[in-house]
Amino acid sequence: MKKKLLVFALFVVLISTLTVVNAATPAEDLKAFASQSFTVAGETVKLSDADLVKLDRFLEDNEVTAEQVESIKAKVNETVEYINETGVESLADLTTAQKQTVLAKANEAAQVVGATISYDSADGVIEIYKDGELIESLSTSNALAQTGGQSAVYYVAISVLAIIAVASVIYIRKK
Amino acid sequence: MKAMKKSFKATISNLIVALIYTVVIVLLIYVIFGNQISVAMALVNTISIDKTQKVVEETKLDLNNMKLINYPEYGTQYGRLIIESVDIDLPLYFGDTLSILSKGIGHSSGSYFPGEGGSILCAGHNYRGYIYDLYETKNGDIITIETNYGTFNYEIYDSQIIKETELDKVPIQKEKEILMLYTCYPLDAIGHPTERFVVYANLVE
Repeated sequence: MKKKLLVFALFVVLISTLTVVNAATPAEDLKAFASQSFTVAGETVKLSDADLVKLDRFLEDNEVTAEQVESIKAKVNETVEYINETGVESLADLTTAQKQTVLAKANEAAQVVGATISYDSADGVIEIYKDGELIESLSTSNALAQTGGQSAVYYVAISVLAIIAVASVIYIRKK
Repeated sequence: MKAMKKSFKATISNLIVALIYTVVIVLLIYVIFGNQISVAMALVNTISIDKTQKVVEETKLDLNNMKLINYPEYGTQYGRLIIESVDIDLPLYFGDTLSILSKGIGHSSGSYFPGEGGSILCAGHNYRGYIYDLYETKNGDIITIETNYGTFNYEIYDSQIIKETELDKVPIQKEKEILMLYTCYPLDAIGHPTERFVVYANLVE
């Protein structure tokens, strides 16, 4: 499992328990916890600056209780412990079943507050939904968004034209 | 055997002629309609009845704390991005999924909003009708972001080509309001471009 997937799984666990609006909460405690590094399968895992911006934004619109913060910390530690207990030496060595377990743990937390997580392994995109609405989209790749490559469309069109042209020429010449 | 050879030669001859016709036709289409093809595709992509067309009205900027009140919903349009020098004027959406990018400029949710005093990271396709002409911008050109809570002008001071994984070249920070707008590089790349062309602009008003 790529390190980034774990980071986002942890992020999802954090975010999914923030969508319940309750009384005033120690947001700063949560931000401090989220800013630290975690050692998982021998690797250092840490939320990126971009991830922390997303967390900060959620905390602006949602308050968390001290109990929720403790619950979040417990979930994160539980996930870290699970991965370390698998004995893998690298996150990339996690089996498909183990990755599914990690995601399941994140989804358990999300479903408590009515949120769900969708993971597309082909695109490497994690989507978080609440009340049927997409509230966040996270990429597991450490790359900027794809904003090009349209030429493939042109080449398909050219191929179709080529086929038509070949058929037309052969037909005309045979006549 | 002779008949087969004759037939084979005739087929090859037909293929060559057909390919020449194809190349000529494609070149003619591209020269005559090149820009309109991309614009048409852009128009098709904007025809949608989903909620990404919804414009958020109630977002406000808390100037004292430099934070937004009522952030736009993920996937919704909250403004427009305009670069007059290269005739770019596109809707601006919160989020940068492929679906969003097909409709205009995507604003990465992992960056700050205009007016919050930090890094703003936006992206757009390098197609004509999108931000193909971003490559033509120069230092000193102004990028304007119009939102329902204010208008912000940014002056371009730098541009560079980076690898798609060089996230340190588009740093997220809150010390200074900097707009970073990127698109894929090179132009007309086949398949998956691995580089990005980024312009950097300072908030000027």
